Amino acid sequence: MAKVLLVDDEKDFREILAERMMGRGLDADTAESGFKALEMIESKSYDAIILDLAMPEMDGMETLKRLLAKQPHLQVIVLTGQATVQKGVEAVKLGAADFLEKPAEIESLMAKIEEAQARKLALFEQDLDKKISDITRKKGW
Amino acid sequence: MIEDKEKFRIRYPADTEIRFFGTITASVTHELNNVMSIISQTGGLLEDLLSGNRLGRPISPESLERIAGKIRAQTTRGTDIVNRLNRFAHGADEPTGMFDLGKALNNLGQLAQRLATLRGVILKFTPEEMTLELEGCQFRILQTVFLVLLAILSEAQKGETITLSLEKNADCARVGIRLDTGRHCEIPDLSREKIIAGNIGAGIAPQNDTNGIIIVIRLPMKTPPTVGQ
Repeated sequence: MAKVLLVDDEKDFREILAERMMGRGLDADTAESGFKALEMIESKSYDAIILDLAMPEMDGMETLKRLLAKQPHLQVIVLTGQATVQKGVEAVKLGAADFLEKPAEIESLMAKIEEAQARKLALFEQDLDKKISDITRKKGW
Repeated sequence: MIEDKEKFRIRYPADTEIRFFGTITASVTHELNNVMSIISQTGGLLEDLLSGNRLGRPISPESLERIAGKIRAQTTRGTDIVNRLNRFAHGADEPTGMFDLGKALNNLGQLAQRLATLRGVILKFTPEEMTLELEGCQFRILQTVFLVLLAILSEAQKGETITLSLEKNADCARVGIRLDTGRHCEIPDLSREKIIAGNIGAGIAPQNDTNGIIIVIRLPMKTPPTVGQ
């Protein structure tokens, strides 16, 4: 079961989307702000973070930077409602895994989450391989 | 504050009237997009429930009631946004004429609410309802107020309050934009705003103290026809 965190200041949006995701078998949590998301990733390992860009206090771009500073392998899918792909591209340059424009179809979002989960697994395996090869090299095996 | 004030000012330059219109519509349509996204997801949730129902999962009347309530609430929110934007857009219909500054300012304040919210700032309008008829170019008067509001917003920090007020003097209307901070604030550079105000015969008077900043825009009750036309 993929673990997803939805970060959006619109209460109805995050609650309804979380409900739809849970109906599709995901373990979906919600956070109303970037600050809350930063707290939540400390206590749970998420396969994907769905992040709205336009939020009060700490916007999505800043949240993205801080999330990746804490966990560089985090798979962040950015939701942009700004009628342009420019912000999404900017987010990807900053390290976001992908972006979607609001209003996004649930099927598109589910596909992106699946890709994110696969990428996270691949990164985990890469790290594991590296650790194993480091150990074997050190031991001279 | 995450977004520094210089960046904020550059994002909303005072160069042209088109930029003023663009800033307002961009902000408002973004909010409208949020409303549409919620309606879209709520409709999707209803489809999900119906799909489940075809497979034998019952749908409770409470679920349907909750979904209908959310759609109704968001539709009302969206309609309010569209009406505010429509009133604002019609302010540019005539180059000059009589209009209710109280209503126009209240509308502008609501349109600017999202920009304030994104900075964590509370925007109030006082008195909430006031009628003050004056003659002039509504669009340019609102542009002046909005640019001053953005200038003061750029100085505001999270949790602070900006109050937009209106009062009538003998020969003029006075629009006050006050930032309450409880700290000393520098007065923002208002040179561009003063030029724009001058075009409609208005004056801008800023003051600061240990509690914040107040900027008063003095508007003539009738803009001279030779000014700014």
